[in-house]
Parts: sequence; structure tokens; C-alpha cells
Amino acid sequence: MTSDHDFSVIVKEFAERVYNHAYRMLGSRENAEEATQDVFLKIHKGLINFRGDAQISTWIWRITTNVCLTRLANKTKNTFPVEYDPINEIADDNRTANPEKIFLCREDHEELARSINKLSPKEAAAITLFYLEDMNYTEISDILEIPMGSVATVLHRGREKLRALILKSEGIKL
Amino acid sequence: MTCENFQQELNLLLDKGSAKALPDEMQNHLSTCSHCNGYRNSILSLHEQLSLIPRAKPSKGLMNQLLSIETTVNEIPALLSWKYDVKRALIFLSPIVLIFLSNYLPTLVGTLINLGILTAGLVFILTTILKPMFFSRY
Ligand SMILES: [Zn+2]
Repeated sequence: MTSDHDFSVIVKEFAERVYNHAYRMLGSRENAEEATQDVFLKIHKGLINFRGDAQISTWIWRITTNVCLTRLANKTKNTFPVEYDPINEIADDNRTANPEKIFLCREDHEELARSINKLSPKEAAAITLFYLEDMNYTEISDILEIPMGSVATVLHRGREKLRALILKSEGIKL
Repeated sequence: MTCENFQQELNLLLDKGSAKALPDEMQNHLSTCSHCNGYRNSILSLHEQLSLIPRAKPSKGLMNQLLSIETTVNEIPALLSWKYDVKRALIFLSPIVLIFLSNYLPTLVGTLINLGILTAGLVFILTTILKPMFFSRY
């Protein structure tokens, strides 16, 4: 193990970001803590074989995202899916004049963050990587192992669902 | 330009960080479509607020647990070393057992038992001793 890939250095550099990513994707501190431990166990186990073909950060984010996606998939198996009205299925005549006002007045970012884990696992991952980790299409496409074009679609769909969820929670129809 | 086109283009511009200044075609659509006007405002606001979501911080306890992974995991093989000693002893003793059995059971049944023991011994050696030696990540 070289000093560049020293486990304790990786923990110090990535723990907060990995935990934050897991928390935003999974929606609870308990789940996020378990997921973070899982991630670092995998990192520790795989570090000796890490060949450096990819950047270490990409490799770490791939592990993080996969751990969270697996946990979300298991959660979905055991619970009812989140109620969601696709934006296209809502009739035009139900639109209110100024739904944007609600967003402009809204200061509770935690509420918004909580909505992220109501998205599909891939959408939640893409939104979290894009907004919380400031990643671009190329990086997200590498981590989620999807084409660049799909990143745009997944982000767009995720935003649409968040918008619909928030408006719905405010009792506003689009 | 349709509303759907407008919204798709707007999302792409948002991702590129250039949604404030719209191309003429989109601007023209915006001046005639109140729905897309509302959509633009809400999606811009959502975009901005998503960027402002605060970071969740891990507890000190979790940080300590993560830092202790290295020590804990490295201690496990040492704790399990007596098992490796038992395995080594079994491998060392198995030829003696086989010679003993072939001398005292020189019948067809004896040969079959010997072959069985030999196969089981080989499988045991390959799966529990050699595989972890060459494929273990520790
Ligand atoms: Zn329109």
C-alpha cells in the first residue's frame, strides 16, 4: 500500500463526503452510518488490488454509489413504492398561476434533501453527485457506469420528480 | 418550439450552468407561454436550492470506527492463526493416515476409501489453503 493510497488518509479525505452522499441518498443517519462503514470496509479490502486504471476518487465513488444503490434496492423490495404523480399525467387545467412562488419562499433545505431519497436510486445518485459533489456529466457517467446522454435524462427526470413532490407537499397541482 | 422541447433544453442549459441567458428561440417561446414561464422559475429555484443543501456531518464515533477498520481487519488473521496451524497439521498427517489405511485395508473397499480420502484431501487443500493464499486480498 503506497502512501498515496494510505487507508487512514482516504478515511480523513472521503469519510465526510461519503457519509453525506449516503445520508442524502438513504435518508437516515442510521442507514448512512452503516453504508459508510460498508463502503470503507470495501475500500480497505480492495485497496491492495487497486491498480490505478481509474482515479482513486472515481473508484471510491463507484463503491459508495453501489453500496447505496444496493441498500435502496433492498429497501424498495421490503416497502411500498413512494407515491408519485408523473408530471405528464397531470391535467393542464390543474395548473396554478404561480407555483414558483412556493419555491422562492422555501428555506427548508432539509425538507428538499429528504425528498431526494424518494427518487429512484439512479436519480437520487445522479442528483446527489451533481449537486452535492459538484460533479459533471463525465464523472457521473463514469461512476454510475451509464452513457453521458443518460446522465442528462436521469438528472432531468430527478429534478422533475423533486419539483412535483415539493409542489404536491405544498398542496399545489401543476 | 414545443413546451417539451423548451423544458428539455432548459434542463441541459441548467446542467451546463448557463440557464440565465436563453437562446432567442427559447426566449421567444417564453414570451408567449405562461406555463413555461412558471416552469422556468420553479426549476431555476429548485436548481439553486439543491446547490444550497447543507452537508451532513458524520459523528466522531463513526470517524473513529472507520479509522479503526485497518487495525481491526489486520488483527483478524492473527486471531485465526491457530486454525491455520490445525490445517497444516492435518495436511502433514494425511499421508501417514493414507499409508496406514492402505496397509491394513488392502481390499477393493480399502482402495475406494483411500481414493475418497485422497480426493477429499485434495479438495480441502485447494479450497481452504491454496485459494486464500493466492487470492486473498489481505
Ligand atoms: Zn411552453
